[in-house]
Amino acid sequence: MTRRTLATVTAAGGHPGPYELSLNKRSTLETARLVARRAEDARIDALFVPDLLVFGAQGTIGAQEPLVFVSALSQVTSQTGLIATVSTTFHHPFNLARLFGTLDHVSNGRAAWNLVTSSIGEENYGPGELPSPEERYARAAETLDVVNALWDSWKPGSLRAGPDGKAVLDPSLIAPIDHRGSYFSVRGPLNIPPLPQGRPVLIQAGQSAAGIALGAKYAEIVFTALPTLADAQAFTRTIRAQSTRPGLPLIFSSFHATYGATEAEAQRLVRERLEAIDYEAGRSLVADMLGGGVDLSEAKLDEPLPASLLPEISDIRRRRGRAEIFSKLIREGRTLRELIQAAQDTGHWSVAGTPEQLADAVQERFEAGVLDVLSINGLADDRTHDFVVNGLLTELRRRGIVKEDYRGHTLRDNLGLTL
Amino acid sequence: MTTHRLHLGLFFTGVGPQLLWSQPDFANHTHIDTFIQTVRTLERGLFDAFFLGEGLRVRENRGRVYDLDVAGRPDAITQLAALAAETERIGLVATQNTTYNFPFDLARRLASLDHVSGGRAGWNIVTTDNAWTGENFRYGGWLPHERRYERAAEFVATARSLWGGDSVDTHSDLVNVTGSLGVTGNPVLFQAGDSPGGRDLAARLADAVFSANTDYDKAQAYAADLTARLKAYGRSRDQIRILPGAQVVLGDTEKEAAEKADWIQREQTTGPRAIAFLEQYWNKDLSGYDPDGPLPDIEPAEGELDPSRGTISIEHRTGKLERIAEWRSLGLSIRELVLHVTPRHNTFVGTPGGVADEWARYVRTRAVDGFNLVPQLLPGSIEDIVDRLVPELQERGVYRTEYEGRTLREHLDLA
Repeated sequence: MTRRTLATVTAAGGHPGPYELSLNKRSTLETARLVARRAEDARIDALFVPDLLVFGAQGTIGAQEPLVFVSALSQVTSQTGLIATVSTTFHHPFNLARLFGTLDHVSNGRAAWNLVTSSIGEENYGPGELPSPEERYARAAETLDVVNALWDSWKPGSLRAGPDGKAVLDPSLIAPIDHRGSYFSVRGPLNIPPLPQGRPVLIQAGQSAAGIALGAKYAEIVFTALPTLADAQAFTRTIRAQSTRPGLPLIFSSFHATYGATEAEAQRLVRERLEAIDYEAGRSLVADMLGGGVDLSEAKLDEPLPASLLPEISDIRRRRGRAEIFSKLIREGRTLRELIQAAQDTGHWSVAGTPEQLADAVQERFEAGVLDVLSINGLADDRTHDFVVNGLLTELRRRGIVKEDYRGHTLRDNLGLTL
Repeated sequence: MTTHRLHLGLFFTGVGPQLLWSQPDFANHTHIDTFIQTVRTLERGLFDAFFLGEGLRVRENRGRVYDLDVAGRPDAITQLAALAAETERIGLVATQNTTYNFPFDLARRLASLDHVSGGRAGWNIVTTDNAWTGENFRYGGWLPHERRYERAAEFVATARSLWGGDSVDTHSDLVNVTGSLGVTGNPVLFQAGDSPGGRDLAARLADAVFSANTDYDKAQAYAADLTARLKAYGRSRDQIRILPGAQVVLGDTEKEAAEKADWIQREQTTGPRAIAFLEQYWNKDLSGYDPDGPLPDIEPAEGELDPSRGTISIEHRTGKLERIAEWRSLGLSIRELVLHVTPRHNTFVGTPGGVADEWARYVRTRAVDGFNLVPQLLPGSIEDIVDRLVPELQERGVYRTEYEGRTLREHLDLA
């Protein structure tokens, strides 16, 4: 068995700016090419594209459709995996199976789906309100049953080269799926030949109880916001206890690193960033993290928030997992100022230090068995690129935590995931 | 007098009998490298656009997966986005339906293709009008044929508003969108259906049509019909490009070209394909019949054609008994009949100079603005066109000698 190593992911970058979005006959791929090249040079396992379905919710994220974007990236890269975030709430499973199937083919087996159920965006897919988290996760589960059946609907050997080199299709190995469920009825089979990876790698994000249940059952990797080691330990215990697959799902954490040549420099950068925060605007950001139903405009900045402000979790329809994280921080007695600071990282794991100190933090979680996939920031930024590539990654490789090179051709090969 | 020039597209059919997948030296039809090599050759030939079709169900023959279709139907936008990264100038046109997509989602995907390609996206609008396809979606069979064009028109209008940067707030029983895209874009709109509803949709909002009327007389009649329809929507003939589908077979001599065309057509119409073609109409097992013998003497099953091969337009789904009676009166063998009724009339056969002369006449009289070519052999068909036919067209002054613009809209001389 291959030794366990830590996989690495970075944001695909190239979130287009307003200039590119006004379509001045210039491809929005130009900036993304640089990040993609840097990622492959650094042997990063996969590029990640988020989605919010709504323009302007967080800068220009959401302006370009992730599948189209990573599909274009598939031709400016040759080895790195391609993770596209796509919602199950606003898509039909037959289309989803085709879209990811096509991505897996054009990338020769490098596709991954970051499945989300969406916390915003319903106004663009009317009519109707955003379904409750329970309903969104029920729909997601049924979607996964359907797409998995579709990807499996062409059995191995259904399309092969005959003795004279001609392509031969064996219809007896291709069967309808005849799915009839609460949300969908789909006859199948899929109309795409078997995927290079069989199925794309399935990543799922969502830390509410319903999200954890879905991840435990279906996901190969779960994307998490786990600010402390204790959070990571508790989460890993919870989700693995619900999973019947040993060692799965893998834990994928976003690592918001502040890099310094010295510890003092890193701390200074953190201080400068905290000083630059607009704490008045931060009030609504924290309110948003708490589900949007609380008013923090009158709360004192340097006092803990009263428990009476805690939202009723079951009433929250959007980003319930985030609300749970911030409710926990309130119960721990954090001041509003501290909550606003935490909200800058949207509840993610955030560490400042020298590359060695950052590597220590990563090693601690890796060895505790609560970290399998690490999202690294700073690769695209010229000010931090060297810290990432020649600092953190070199250090993690020296310690034997991150592998030296790609292991194989597909993302599954590189992540050591088998179907 | 303005010299009108030809615009050329290549339509990669994927499934269907035109492409001779079974030739041993044929490129690997599922590998992205096949597509990359194809578009690079087309770009060398200064083509306006590369088209991909759409299919949402594995085609069947008498309820079984049709084993002569081996390619499958990957998603066009996803494939074209990959090709965008490998090309500089050629337009990338995706066939996408307005029935089983969300307007906001599809508008966003097409705008994204327009962005990653730097303004080279096109959308071939189809309505996918059968319940057989609908069985793969929960809304199987929703909307009768005419309402599909209603939804298509609302769908396209919404997409255009979104691309224009507008905040959209539109609500009807067919389309519901509130919001904005945040991405501007201007994909070229193609329309392909030949029904009256389809022609009206083209006249109302298409930038170009992928027409089925290729023979010169039909092409002229179609251009006249479309011009009249355009007028009804306050538009003129200059605002639309007509590109009928066509195949090309070239040879050094007329005789060599004719022999090659015969060979291609025989390869396209193998015995099993000819039998399967008739089985669509008879809806009975005809595998015991000799493809080179007479038409089956048994009577066809009741009921009209089902669209399980995914290709039969709505106009051709009825009246099969009359058609069969007419076929019987021709006295042809099964294979001869299929050769007779399949669209060989869309094929230009000749020397490069001969075909170039013919096309020059088409475009100078504005019967068409170009052709959307369907290859039979990859890479052979395309290399023939690019290396042998294109220079002849250039010599006659009816084809560009370099790309003057960067966007598909500029290639097509559309404002």
